[in-house]
Amino acid sequence: MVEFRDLSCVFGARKAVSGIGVTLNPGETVAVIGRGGSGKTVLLNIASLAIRNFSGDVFIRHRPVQSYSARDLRRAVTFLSEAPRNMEETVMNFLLLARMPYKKILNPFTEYDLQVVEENIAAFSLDPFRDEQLGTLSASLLQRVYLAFSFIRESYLLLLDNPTKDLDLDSVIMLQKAMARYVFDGNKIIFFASNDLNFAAQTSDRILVLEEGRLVLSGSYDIIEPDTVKKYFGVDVFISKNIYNGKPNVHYFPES
Amino acid sequence: MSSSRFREFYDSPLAVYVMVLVCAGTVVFSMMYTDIPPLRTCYYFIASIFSLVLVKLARADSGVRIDYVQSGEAWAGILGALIIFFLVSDNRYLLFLSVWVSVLMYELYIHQLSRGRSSDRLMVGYAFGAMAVVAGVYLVLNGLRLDAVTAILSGICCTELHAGWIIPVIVLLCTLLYAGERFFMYELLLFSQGEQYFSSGGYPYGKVKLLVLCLRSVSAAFVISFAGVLAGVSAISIMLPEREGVLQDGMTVLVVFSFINIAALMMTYLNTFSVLAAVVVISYLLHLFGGRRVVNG
Repeated sequence: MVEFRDLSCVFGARKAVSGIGVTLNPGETVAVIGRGGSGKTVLLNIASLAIRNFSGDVFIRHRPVQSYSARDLRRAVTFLSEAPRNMEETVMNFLLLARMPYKKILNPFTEYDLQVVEENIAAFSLDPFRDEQLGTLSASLLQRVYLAFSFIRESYLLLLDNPTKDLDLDSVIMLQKAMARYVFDGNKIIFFASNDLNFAAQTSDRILVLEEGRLVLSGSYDIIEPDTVKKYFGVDVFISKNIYNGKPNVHYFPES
Repeated sequence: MSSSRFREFYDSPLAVYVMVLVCAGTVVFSMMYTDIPPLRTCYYFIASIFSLVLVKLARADSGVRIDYVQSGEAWAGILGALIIFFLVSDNRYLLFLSVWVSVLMYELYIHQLSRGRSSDRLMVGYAFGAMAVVAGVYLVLNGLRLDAVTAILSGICCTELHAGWIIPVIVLLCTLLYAGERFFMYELLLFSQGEQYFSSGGYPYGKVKLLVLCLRSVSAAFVISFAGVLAGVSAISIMLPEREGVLQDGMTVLVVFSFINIAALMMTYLNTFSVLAAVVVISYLLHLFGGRRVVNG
C-alpha cells in the first residue's frame, strides 16, 4: 500500500500541491488528471523523492519513503523523469541498466534480469531496434524504450508521467497491455499522470482530479462526465460508452 | 571499400593480423634504421594502452566522443609541463606530476562548465590548444629551449631511461584500469546517463564522478607523458563501430601504437615540428570525419 498524507509543496509563492491525501492499493492502476500546472507531475516527483522539499508524509508498504536507502527506493519506486544523457548507448544496453538496482557489484546480470528485459523488448516490439543507438530513434520509439525501461525495473510503485506522449496508436495498445500485465498479480501499483482523458478512463481503476494543486475529485472512470470535464478543463465534450468495456470515451466538439 | 564492408573487415580477425604486421613492421623499422631506443618504443606501447583506457573511460561521459587532443586535456597537460619545465625543474617525475595535476584541474573545470556537452568540451579544447601554442611561443622567446618544447609535445617521460621497477608498476596500473573498466562496464554506462540514473543503482554519484575524473586524468597524464600528442589518433576507435570485446580493444591499441611509431619514425627524418603539427591536424580531421552519429540528445 502507498499512502500520501497531507502532502504540500511550495515553489516560490505558488502552492504546487496542497493538502493531498490518497491511498493507493496493490493491484490498482490510478490516474491523476488535471490542467497543465495543476500539480500532477509534482505529485509523482514527491512520491519518488525526486522533490524533497515537501511537507506531509509518503508511506510505501507502511514505511516512510525517507527511510528507504537509495537502492531500496529504486526497487520500490520507479519514476523516469529525466531523459538519459548518453544517447549513443544501444537500446539493449540502456534497458539492461534498468536492472542495476538488483545487480550485485562485479556480478553479471542474472538469467532473470535478462528474461525480464527480453519480455519487455517483446512487449514493446523493440526487437528490431535492440542494437540501435538511442539517439537514432524516433520520438515514438524512444518513448517506447523509456516505458520498457520503467516496466523492466519491476518496482512496487510504478510512476508514469504522461506515458502516451509521442506514442502512435499501436504503441498505446502495447502500453495498455503492459500496464494490465504489470498489476495483474495484485502486488504492484501503477500511478500515472495523463493529459489524455480517454487513456486515463480506459486504463485506470481510479481517477484523481487535481486543480491548482488540490485534489478536487476522486472516483472510478464514471467521474469522466461532460460537466466534470467542463468544470475542470473548461472544454465542452460529449461522452459515449465504449461498446467493448462500457468505459467512457471523450469526444471533443469540432471547432465551430 | 564501402563503409559496411570496411566495418566488416575491421571486425574480422584478418584485420587484427594485418594490424599486427603493420605494427611489427614499424617496430622493426625503427629498431633497424633509426636511433629510437627500444625502451622508448616500449613507452609508446604503454601510452597506447593508456589511450585505450582513456577511450573506454570516455564512455562515462555522456556524448563526449572526442579524444584527449581534441578535448584539450593534452593541451592542459602540456601547458602545465611547459610552465614547470621553464620555472622549476626538468625533473621527469615532477613534470609527470605537473601534467597530471594540470589535466585533473582541467577536468574539474570542464565538468563544472560543460556538464558533459561535447560541443562545449571541443570549444574549450580549441581554446586551450591556442593558449598552449601562445604560451609555448612566449616561453621560447623568453629562453625556453626549443628541444624541450618538442620533447614535451612528443612525450617528455619517454626520452630517458627510468628505474627498472617503474615499467612493471605502470603496466600493472594500466592492466588494472583496463580490467576495472571491463568489470564495471555497466556501472560506467549507468554513470554516463546522469545523476538520477546512477543514484537509482544505489551508488554515490558525486564520489564516483570524482573517481572517474581522477582515473581519466591519470590515464591522460600517462599518454601525454609517454607519447605527447602523438596518440591523438585514438579518436579512430571512437569513430569506428563500438563492439565489445578484447579483439576490438586490441585493434585500438595496435592502431594507436602503429600511428605513434610511424610519427616517431617520421620525426627522425623530417622536421619534428612539422610532424607534430601534422599529427594534431590528423587528430582534428578524425573528429571532422567521425562526425555526429546520433540525431537526438
